[in-house]
Amino acid sequence: MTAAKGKRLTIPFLVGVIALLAGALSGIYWLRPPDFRLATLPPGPALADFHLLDYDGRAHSLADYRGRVLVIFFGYVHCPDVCPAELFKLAQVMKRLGSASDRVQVLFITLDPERDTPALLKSYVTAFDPHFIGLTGTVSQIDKVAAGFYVAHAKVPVGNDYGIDHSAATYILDARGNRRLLGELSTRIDDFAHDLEILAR
Amino acid sequence: MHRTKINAHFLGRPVEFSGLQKILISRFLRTRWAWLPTLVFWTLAVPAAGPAAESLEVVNAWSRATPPGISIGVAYFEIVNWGDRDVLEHLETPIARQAQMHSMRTVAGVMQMRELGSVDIPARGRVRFEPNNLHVMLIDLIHPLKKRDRFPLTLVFQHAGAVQVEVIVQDLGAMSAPGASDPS
Repeated sequence: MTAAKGKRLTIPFLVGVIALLAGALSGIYWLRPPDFRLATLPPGPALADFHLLDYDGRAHSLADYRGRVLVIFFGYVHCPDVCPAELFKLAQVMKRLGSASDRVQVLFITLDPERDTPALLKSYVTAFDPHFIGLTGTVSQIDKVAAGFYVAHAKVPVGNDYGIDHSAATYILDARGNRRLLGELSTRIDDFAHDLEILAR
Repeated sequence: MHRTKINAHFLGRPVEFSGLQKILISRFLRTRWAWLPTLVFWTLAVPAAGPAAESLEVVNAWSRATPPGISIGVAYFEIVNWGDRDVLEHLETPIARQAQMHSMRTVAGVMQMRELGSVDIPARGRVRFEPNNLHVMLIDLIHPLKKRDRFPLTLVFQHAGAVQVEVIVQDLGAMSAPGASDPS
C-alpha cells in the first residue's frame, strides 16, 4: 500500500525534475555568451562620441551608426604593407557576409590627416570596397579619437619622409556602440565573418 | 686489334697521351664499365658547377595593385642563396623614383616600419620579403600599378652583383605570390 503510493508520487516527481533540468539546460544554452572567435573586449566606459569628416566633406559621429555594427581600422594611405592587406581582408569579409553586410559598416580613420587629403582618402578606401568610409579631421581631433580607442600612433622618419607606427588592431563595436571585439593582422576572413554575423543579427 | 682514336681536352687544350696510356684507355673504353666515369662526372661535377655559376637566385617577385592617385607601392620576393654570405645593398626600378628596403614588426600590437640600409643574406639560406615582414616600399610610382602588370626590379648584392627580376602585380591587398593560394 505504502509502496504503491510512493511509486505513484515518484513518477510525477521524476518527470518534474527532468522537465526542470531540461528547462535549465536550454536556458543555459540560449543565454550562453556567443562563442566569438576574435578577442573579446571587457565592457569598458562608454566611448566618447567623435565628430569627423568623411572624404566627401560630410560630418560623421559615432552616434550616426547606432543600429549597425562598426568595424574600425586606423591607418594611413602611405602605408605599403599592412594597411592595404587589412582593408583588402575586410573587403573580403564583407563579401563573405552577403546580405548581413548591410548591417555592418567599415570605417577607415586616417592617422595621417596632414598627407591624406579627402581626395586621396576617397581614392584609397573605395578602391577596396565602395561602401567603405574614410574619415579624417584635424590633428587634434584624430589624436582624441585614437586615444579613445587606445590606439597608439607616432610619426617616425623613413628615408626623407615619415611613416606612422600604429596599433594594427581592428576594433568592432556592436549596434549599440559598445566596444566588443578586437581583430588582429592574423585574424582570418572566416573568423571575422563568423563574429560579425553574430553581432549583426 | 683496331686503334681507338682518343681526343681528350683539358682546359681547352688537347691532351697528349703516351702509347701505354692510349692502349689502357682504349681497352677501358671497350669494357662494360666505360659509362662509369661519365656517371661520376655528371653526379658530382655538374651539380657542383651549376650553382657556382649562379650562386644566388631571386624568385617569386610580386607586388600589389595601387588605387589611382596613390604614389606608393610595395614589392616582395624570395632570395635563395646557395653560396656564401652576401648582402643586399640596394634596389632600383624604373617604375618608381625610389625603392627602399623596410622591416615591419609588431611590438605590443603596434606595427613598426623601419628603413633598412642593407639586408644580410646568410650562406646557404633564404630570405623572404613578404607581407607583415621585410618588404620593398616603392616611392613615387610613375603610374598606378594594375593587376597583371609587370615591371623590372634590380637587386644589387655586394658579391652576386645586380640581379634583375620581373615583378608581377597582384590584387590590391594580395598576401602571396601568383600561383600560391591566399591563406584565409
